[in-house]
Amino acid sequence: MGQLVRSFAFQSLMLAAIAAVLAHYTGSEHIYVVAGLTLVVKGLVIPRFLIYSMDRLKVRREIEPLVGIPASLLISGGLVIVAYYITEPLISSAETVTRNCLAVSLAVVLIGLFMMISRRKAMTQMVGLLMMENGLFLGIISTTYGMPLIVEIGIFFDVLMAVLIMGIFAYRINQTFETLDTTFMRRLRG
Amino acid sequence: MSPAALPSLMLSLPLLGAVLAVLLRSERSRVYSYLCSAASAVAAAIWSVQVLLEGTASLVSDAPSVWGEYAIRLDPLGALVLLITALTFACVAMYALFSREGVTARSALLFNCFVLSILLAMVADHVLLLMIAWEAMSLTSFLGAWGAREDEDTIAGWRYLAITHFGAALVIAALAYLAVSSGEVRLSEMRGLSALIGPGASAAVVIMLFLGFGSKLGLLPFHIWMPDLYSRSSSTVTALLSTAASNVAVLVLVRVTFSCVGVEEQYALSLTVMGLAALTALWASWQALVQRDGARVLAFSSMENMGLILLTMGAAMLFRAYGAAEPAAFALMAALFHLINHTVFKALLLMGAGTVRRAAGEWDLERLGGLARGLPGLSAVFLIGTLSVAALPPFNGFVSEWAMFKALMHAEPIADPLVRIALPLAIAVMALCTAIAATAYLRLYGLTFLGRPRSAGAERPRPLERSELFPLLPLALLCILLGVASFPLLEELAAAVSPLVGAAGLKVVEGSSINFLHQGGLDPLGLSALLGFGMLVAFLIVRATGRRKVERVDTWDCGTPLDRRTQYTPTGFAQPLLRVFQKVYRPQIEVREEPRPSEYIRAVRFEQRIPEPFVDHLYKPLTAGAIALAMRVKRMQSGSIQAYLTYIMVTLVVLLVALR
Amino acid sequence: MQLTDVLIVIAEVSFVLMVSPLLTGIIGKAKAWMQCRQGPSVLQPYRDLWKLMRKATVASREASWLFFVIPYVCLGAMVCLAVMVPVFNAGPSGGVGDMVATIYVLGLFRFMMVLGGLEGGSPFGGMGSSREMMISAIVEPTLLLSIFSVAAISGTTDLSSISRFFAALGPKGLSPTLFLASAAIFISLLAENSRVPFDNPATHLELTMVHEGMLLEYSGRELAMMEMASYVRLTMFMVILSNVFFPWGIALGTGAGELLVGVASISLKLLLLSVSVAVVESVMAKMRLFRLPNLLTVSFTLSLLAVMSYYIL
Repeated sequence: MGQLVRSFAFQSLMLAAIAAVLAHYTGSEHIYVVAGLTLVVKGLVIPRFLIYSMDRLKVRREIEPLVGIPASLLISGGLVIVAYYITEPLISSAETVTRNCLAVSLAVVLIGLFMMISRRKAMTQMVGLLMMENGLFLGIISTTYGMPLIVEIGIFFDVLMAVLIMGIFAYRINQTFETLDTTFMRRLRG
Repeated sequence: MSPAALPSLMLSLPLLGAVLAVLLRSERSRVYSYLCSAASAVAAAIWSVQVLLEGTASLVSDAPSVWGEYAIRLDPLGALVLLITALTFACVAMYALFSREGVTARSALLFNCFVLSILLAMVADHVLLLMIAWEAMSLTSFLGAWGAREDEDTIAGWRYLAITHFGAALVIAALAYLAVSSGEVRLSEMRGLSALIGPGASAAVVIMLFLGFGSKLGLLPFHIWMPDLYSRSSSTVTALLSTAASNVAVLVLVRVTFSCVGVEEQYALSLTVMGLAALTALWASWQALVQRDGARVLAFSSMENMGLILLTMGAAMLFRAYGAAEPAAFALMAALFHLINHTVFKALLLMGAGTVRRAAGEWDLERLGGLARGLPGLSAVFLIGTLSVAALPPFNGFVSEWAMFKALMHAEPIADPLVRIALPLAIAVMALCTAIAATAYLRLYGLTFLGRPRSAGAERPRPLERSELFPLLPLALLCILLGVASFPLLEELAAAVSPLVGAAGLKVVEGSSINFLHQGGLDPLGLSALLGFGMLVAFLIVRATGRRKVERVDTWDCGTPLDRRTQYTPTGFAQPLLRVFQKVYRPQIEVREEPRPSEYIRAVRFEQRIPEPFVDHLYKPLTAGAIALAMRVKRMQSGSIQAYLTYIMVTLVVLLVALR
Repeated sequence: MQLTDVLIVIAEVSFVLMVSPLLTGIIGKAKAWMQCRQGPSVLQPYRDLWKLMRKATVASREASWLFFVIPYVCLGAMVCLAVMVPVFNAGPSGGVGDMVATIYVLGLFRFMMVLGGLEGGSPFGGMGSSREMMISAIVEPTLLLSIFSVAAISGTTDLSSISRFFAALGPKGLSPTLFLASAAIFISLLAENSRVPFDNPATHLELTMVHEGMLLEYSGRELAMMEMASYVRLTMFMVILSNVFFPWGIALGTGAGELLVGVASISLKLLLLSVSVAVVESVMAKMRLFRLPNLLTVSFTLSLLAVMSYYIL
């Protein structure tokens, strides 16, 4: 699980690097701020908080996932192909930056969604959601070259709050059910 | 000599042989009937060389026929395939003679009929002639396979017959449709029919032909007859079936698909063909790994090679559909070269496996082992065959697989980006197949010839006479020759396939290197020379340190005495890959505790069965449904005369009314 | 082919043969340093080979004629590989330097070694052989897909031409495809050469052996040949990784200065790769056998992504 959070931190780091390069490319100042925010919030704060929650919850390794590892890898490869196929008409007429990033961002969103489906622990699903958000962020940055700063800050704050709330929920779930395995939590019906 | 002399000789000699087999009483004289087939093979080979030198030969006969004139035709492509097939025939005939299985009248008769039908099918130009030859081929191989072993049930034979006839029905329907819609009855006269019958109909025709011929080649899901038949018939029959029959099927398929019908703009069709062929090859390599009978391993190996050939052919169709003629020609050439190589090494392997079975008296891999010390000559020859089928340099399998990979690596001509991905996926599938198949061949060779013998039969094999190895030697030599210096063959092949795909003469060979559009070539002669050079360097380095003596002791055993049961078994060798691909195999494992032989020792029984999903989930329900339907219809046959007379009267009245 | 080309090829082969045991020694020394101990000298593999060459051969009674042929074939295949792959000079290869052919020559080496493991009829050899085939069955598609992506970029499968293509492009040629494919090949390098996490090359426990298990029955000169062939295989993998993906510094002509630069650059790259292998081996533990397909599927997905990224980017 620590490995998972570290990979997410690495992904956020790369995202911040892309934003910084984009800022240099377009020359707009506020994207540097966005890059810095990504680095701090998603690269440092959120991973630290996730590791802190995991220590409190005494979470061990991910238990047996619903889809095995080789199959998950092959499906992720297939999702990349699907993302490429979907964005192909859009890409062919766009600039270099957009062309490179759009298919990748859609692939990251799809893989994050797949991770939420195929894994059982609530923490892993949270990381999957954060990955989807990363992918969307990449897509936004590469097509619009940065939104107004206030929107960016709003999104970051939103994500931070979501993670804090999910952390608290995870603790409560663990206390009540003695486990974070979401396949056991099917009795919450209407 | 007159142009008709060689072909008539080629076709009439087996007939003579068949007659001799029936008429002559003594066993020695049956030798003459086998010699007739060998002579006919020689005639076929000479005729092919003549055609290669002088051009297409075509013979029309004046025999009375229902529709058009019966004709046979040999073009350079057919000549190349016929040449290799004829050489294989000669070797198999020698093998049948020299093997000490009794040469019975029945086997000699069927052998000659089989040879005749294959030769006829390869050169037939008239649709009807082709179908007759194809039917004869199926029937004679069925009869030849039936009753080869005393302890058999004949289900394997009947399955074969049923599936082949289903395939033949598809082929007849497709060819008849083509003949009727074009008005032509000779295959060489039908050209570019896709313009005439439209893309939908031509796609349907090509699929029917693929499935129909594929039933003989082992295309999924028509493959279930192969392993049983190969393990139950004599190696003579299987050697011919695997090589010659497949050659005919692929040859006619290529001709009709590319020349008669044409595949312009048929993208979906090509992708379907590639997909089906890839699945066939994958399934075959997975199954080859877990078989206990060497003949079954070789059956699946044939299926896998045919899958790879059809995959490359599908890629050629794809290239042609996008209008890239030269890559299509290269791909087709690679596929047909692999077909030729497959003929040589598969015949070698099947005859070798038959020899092992006779010498050791065992067919089960779990009971063989250590034969390399008792049968060194056979082990060397079989090693050449194994290295060829595993596609390792410097043998022929390597050159043709290299060519197939190279053909698939060329993705630029395909405009549609999504379709372009099909090629790297095909490469990945092909690589996985060849890797798993290599494990299967390793297992076959290593556990038959190396290690400790696992039974009394393997421990003391009947020593082979020199004559038993003779038929295998020419094939082994061909494996090496085709691997090292196949340039004239490749040039001829490239020239022969270019017109089929509309390419203007593809130049494949430059100097001693096989080149494809300056995108990297292979010099098989140079490579083999380098390998030899490397071994020489190794040898010299080692000799420089002086001679040493070799001492023989027991295998290192870590303190426990080893015997025949403490070595790896075939099941164990395949076990890691079985576990990796568990979802594919779904092995059914049963572990039972047995009564204790003593106070301190437990006895456990472990049974592992690998189910055949196609039989269980496709064929059994189908046959059950068919039988249920037949039971219902059976009620019509009540046995009473009145009922039958009523049927006759009703039919008569209906017909008279309708034809009024 | 001119005389200078032939001389250069001979020089390359000699270089590879002389340097291979040294690389294994360097890996051993680097691992030792990371474990805070002195470790054996980097020249130890040479001494081991020399010792083995002077010892008598002790063969099993169950071994057949093939047992004595296999070491020659293996070492011969590796020498052939050394000729095929450009080491410090990307000259014309005369049709023998094809990348797909390289994979098949490696396959020949592996096939023969696995057959050697089955000689002797001992369970350890069979164990090593079957495990080796399990690993290599999943590595093959990865290697061929990586070749496909590189061939798609450079338009050819001839090793010298590929080297020249990327050398001419220089740092501009760096692309995600290249990184992904080289990462896939690095994992395959660890797998094929029996390095941690796939196999522990220094193990003495037969139950954990993959590569060593197949060599248990060999002794004396035959063992020296097989060990040397394994060293050369490791070197050649590293050479392929450096000269195909990052061939900066390789000599394109036959001038003396260029050749010296070529030798220096390949030596540097080999040193870097050896140290990276040592670092990876020290940081990771050997994985359980049936967890290896997971890692190998990662490598396959990387090569698949390499192909995809070529089409996307």
